Amino acid sequence: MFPDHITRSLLTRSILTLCAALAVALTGCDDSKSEATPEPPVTPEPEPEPDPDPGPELTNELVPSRKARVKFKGGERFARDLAASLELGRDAICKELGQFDCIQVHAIALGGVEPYELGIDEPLATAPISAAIAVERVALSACSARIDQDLADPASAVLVSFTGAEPTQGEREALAADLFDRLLRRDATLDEIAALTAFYDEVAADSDQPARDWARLSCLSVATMLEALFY
Amino acid sequence: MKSTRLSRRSFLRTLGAAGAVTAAGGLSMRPARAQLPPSADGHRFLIVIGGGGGASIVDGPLAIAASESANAGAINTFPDQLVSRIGPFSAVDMRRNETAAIPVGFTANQSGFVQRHQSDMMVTTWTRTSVNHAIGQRRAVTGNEAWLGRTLQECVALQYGADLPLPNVHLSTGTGYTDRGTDGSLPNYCYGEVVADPKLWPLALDGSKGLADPPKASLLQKARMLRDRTLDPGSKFGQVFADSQRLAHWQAIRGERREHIEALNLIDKLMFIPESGDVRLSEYGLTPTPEAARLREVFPHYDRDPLESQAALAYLLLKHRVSCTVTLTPPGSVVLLGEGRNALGDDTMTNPPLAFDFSHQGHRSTQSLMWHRMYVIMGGLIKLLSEEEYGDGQSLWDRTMIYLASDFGRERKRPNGADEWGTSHDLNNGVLVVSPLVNGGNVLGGVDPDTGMTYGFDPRTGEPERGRHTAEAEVFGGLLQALKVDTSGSGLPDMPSMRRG
Repeated sequence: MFPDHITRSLLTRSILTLCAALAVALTGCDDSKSEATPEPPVTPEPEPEPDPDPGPELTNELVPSRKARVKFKGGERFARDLAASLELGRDAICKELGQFDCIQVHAIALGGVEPYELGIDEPLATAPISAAIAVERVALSACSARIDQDLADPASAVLVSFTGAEPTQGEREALAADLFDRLLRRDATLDEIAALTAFYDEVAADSDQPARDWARLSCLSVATMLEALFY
Repeated sequence: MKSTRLSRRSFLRTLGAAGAVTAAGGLSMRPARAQLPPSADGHRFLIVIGGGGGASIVDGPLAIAASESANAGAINTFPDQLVSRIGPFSAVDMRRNETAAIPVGFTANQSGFVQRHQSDMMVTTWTRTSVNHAIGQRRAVTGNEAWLGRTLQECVALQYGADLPLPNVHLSTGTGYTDRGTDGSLPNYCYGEVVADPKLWPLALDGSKGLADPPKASLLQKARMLRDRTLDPGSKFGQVFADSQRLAHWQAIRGERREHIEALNLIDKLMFIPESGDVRLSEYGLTPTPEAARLREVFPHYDRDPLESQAALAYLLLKHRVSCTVTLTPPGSVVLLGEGRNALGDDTMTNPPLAFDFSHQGHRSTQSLMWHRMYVIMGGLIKLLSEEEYGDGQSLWDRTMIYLASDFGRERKRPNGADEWGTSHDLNNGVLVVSPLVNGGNVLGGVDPDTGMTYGFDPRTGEPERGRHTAEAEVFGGLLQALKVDTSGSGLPDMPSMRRG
């Protein structure tokens, strides 16, 4: 009925099953015997010598990386991530003076190359100071574009949909969580949500448009975290 | 002279005001570098212009007239009528209808510059150690690694840049003249800040100004503080990679150094492109620098000639005490300044392809045109710097050195009597330095008119010494000493003959 090798396999498995069942049955019958024949006294095991080098204690604390090799994401990847996170077109995230693509304007500072005209065929080894500023310009421009579109057309809002002129506590928390989810692809911690929601009060004390400014500056602060720029 | 310069005192006042503003907002602004004392004797400024491809000294200030040579037809000499003698220097004026094999003409005039600036011109002969472009360029600014591999620019930045926001700016890229030196122990501010496009780079000096409807600066600063002090330190990423040097550098440049730069409003001070129909600066809250019109008079082709736009920004960087050293190089691609149908017409060739290195295709036209071009750029910079007061009645130019660096020299032989020919690279050459700080009006060393080869000089007296070769380290040391850079402990040779007495 079955090929030989399958037949042998089934037979072997049956024998093993039978042996196991027998062993269980015999063990079950052992209770009365153990009462009749007391076991010899058990000598306690000696305490082990303390390990002179027990190694790091396991805790929930993060262990810093010894090598800490991180790489800059680069301008183009940063721009594409930002565009995808904020559901903006790549061309819509930032234009210098309304016409020049920011990533192209700041391409070399942001780790780009341009071998033909500029002779730069490798990214700069060290980020120039303009890199950090350029990143902020790109992020601020993209965040402002997203927030302004959402506030202008709440029906099709992507990120911000406040029910009133001032976001409720729940709306603040929801936006904070959404920013981390979108921009860093992870859940925000409770502390991070608390920090962003508390930031609203700081903004409100100094802004004519607190909801708008809080939303776009919160977006900026998350979008330019080290975690968003390096990997 | 104008009095709108940013003196050290006003610079510190600006910083103080910015500090007060941020302190009022509960923020901290302590530009660590501003605490370092500036040089007691004030700043000196170094402008390096890279003669990419080999600026041959015997096609510029040491040009040989045919009547001076016993081998006029066999080596690189000029018809007598093209060569002017101005003090110890030569100048070649010529007009051509072609540039090597390219049927686009040019007019080269060297004599005007030499007549005006001969007292500040010093030619130093030297013999190089490589005919490889990248290596020659690098050794032109390190003296063949004469002082721990530091570049001239880094040395000047170390001496004079501690109180400046961006002491060492490279306005051109991709050459050995702008490579980073090998001494990694210098403060970060000594290494060159790269500028890829001088016209738009000022936009990268402010995090929000120039963007449409930016938030208030105070609010932006609060968002930065939230990020820098709470979000990043609290994140797992920030904790796990806390020891990363790359992250530490990023945190430094987005922190105090950025604050320092934004507080000086450099985005407006350095923006030299004009308001126009194409570029509406005012719509974005920007205003061109007050010097913009003057800059465009002196460098009228800044919008199409990358070297002119580099020179325009170079001047602003020095004037506003942003930098103490700037590096420029002509582009490696062709620049034609003709309009419409005349794009390929007479006198429209401004930069040949490969700059000086187009000498491989046509030595005579390339070198003549490029030397003229170098003089035009240098002349424009000197004019602007001379109009600006540094202090105590001194102009900025009084404290500036322009060093025309070169990869190497060019071959001296030519097919007998040829009017155009190609040359290869040669170790033998000389450099031109223009500055009130050097032993101006002099040629240190000399040129043998029968071979076209240069010879050296006594480092103490400057007397020519046939058979002696000036080393790269000697020129490197002499330039630093003329700039009053403290070279003690460097082991560099003393070169008193290169300094103004």
